[in-house]
Amino acid sequence: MKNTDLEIWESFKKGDKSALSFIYFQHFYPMFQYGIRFKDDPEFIKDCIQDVFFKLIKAGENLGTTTNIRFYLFKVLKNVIYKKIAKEKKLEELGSNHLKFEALFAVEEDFSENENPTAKETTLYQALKNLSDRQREIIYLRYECGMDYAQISDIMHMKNDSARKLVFRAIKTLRKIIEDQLNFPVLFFLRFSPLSVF
Amino acid sequence: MKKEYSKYTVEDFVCNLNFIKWVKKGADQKKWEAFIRENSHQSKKIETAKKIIKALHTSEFPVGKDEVYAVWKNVELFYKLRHQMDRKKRLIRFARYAAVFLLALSIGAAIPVIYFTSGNHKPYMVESVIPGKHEARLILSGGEEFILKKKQSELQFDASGRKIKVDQDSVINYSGKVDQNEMAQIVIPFGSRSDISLSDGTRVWLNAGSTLTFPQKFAGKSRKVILKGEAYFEVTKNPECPFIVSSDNLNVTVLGTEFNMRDDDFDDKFAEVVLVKGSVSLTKKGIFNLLGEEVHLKPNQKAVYSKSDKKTMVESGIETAYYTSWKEGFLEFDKEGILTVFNRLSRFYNVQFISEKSITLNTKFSGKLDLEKPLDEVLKVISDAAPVSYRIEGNKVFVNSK
Repeated sequence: MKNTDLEIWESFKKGDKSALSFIYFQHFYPMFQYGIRFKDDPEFIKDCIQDVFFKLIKAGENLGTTTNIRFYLFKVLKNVIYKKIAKEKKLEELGSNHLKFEALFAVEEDFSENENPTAKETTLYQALKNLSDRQREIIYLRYECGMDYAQISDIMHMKNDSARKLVFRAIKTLRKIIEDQLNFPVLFFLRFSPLSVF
Repeated sequence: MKKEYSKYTVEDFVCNLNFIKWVKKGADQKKWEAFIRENSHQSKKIETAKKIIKALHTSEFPVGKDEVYAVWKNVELFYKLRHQMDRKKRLIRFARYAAVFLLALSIGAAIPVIYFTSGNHKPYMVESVIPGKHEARLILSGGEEFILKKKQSELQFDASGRKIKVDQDSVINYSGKVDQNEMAQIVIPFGSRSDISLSDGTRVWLNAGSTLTFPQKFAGKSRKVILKGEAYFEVTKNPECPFIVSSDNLNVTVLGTEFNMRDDDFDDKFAEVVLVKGSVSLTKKGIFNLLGEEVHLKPNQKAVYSKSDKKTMVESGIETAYYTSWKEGFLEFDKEGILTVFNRLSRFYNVQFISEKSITLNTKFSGKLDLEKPLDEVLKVISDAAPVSYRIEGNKVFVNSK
């Protein structure tokens, strides 16, 4: 008998400890993987995650409701990270969309290790390199976290259409390159690990 | 398989969540394999789409289990502090009905759920269960027994008496009879402790070497429990339904309050009740109590019942912490005889104290002992403070005057 996110969340709001620990251990790892893209500093990100839980515990009954706990946690986390970084750098609050998002795609990693890249491999690498931080984040949320565009638009503070379009544009470019390469078979290595943060 | 897939472009596949889930996690593997067989015109597009998705894979940053736990410890602490504060606030508002509602949740895979139906209604005798070298146990109203694995176990009964949370990591769903004050029992041997929340929200800390017998769900005009040993009670207020603790020698009637009660075989001379908050009245049990003498206690008073002459004495101005600190894991003493100290330690650590030569009985001890520490360390503290030497051999401690 599985409890829905909604039920677990409502119990958590009321102060149920087992709900808290369930949520924590269920979502810590994905939160960390997401958070680390904004700043490559594990201690910093762990602190931010801790702050998220402190915030939620403090709010208690005053918390909003949700049917998707991961999504809720990601939103809060992004906000916490942004505020902390902005404070450190003493930036004006321009909004969390100005956060860098560093997600190296598998091809990029392989490329940097490859001593003799072909022209095609270089093109593919360049295409990915040209992806903006926002595109990377959207792709991450969609392909690693399995979020739908409604959720992505919410976290990214974008219109539903804009997020979708950004991804589509990126994919179109990649498609062209890969299709070209398929026509001229080239051995390039795509690393694939079955682990993902769904 | 959706019909639209047969008309999908590469981009369509790449953007489709089901497709993504298949490529990344192998979801619906057979369905997709079948689809590819039946729609071979799409196989090339699917290959391309697959490659794009794989190209977009991000590798993960490693994070160790100990790191996850380190942060958890802080979160847990924050939670505890937060909820301690809440509890204090509620206790201060004394006029309010203290309704402590605990939600026992069975949560999917993370917490195992035990479903239990009452098979045989074994009648059992309250007095026959003696805590000793057995493990700590919970016995439900139908006779079903659960071993409590932790030294300091935690139990939470929800209002229906049917959902019982054990040690924060498992839940018992009980579907036997609970409607007519059917009694459950918790047996705690020496060397263990238990923190129990009853179905009315009353909290009971059960000390080592004690047994509490109580209705899984309270019904009727009074709430009756039976104690053998020592327990600290925080009773939820309900003037219409007094809470009564019955022990071998005493009946303690409570309206809504906090008190410590001790009546066991370990101490063959005295039984004690120490009142922290609220009001209790004690009556003696037995046929000699014809006049129905009642002793009323006020906060910071202690009633000492002498088993030999069956008389009760009341002392005022008691430092209640000395009697209740055990539930926090401490033993506090103020000019207590060394033998009393050993007596209490014996119960906690499940050891026998043997004096080879008579210890000067005048030795008095004042201080605080941390029960979370191993016995060796605790005894060292004592022998540093008092002229006592000790030697631990298995579960026996030989003590001597220095």
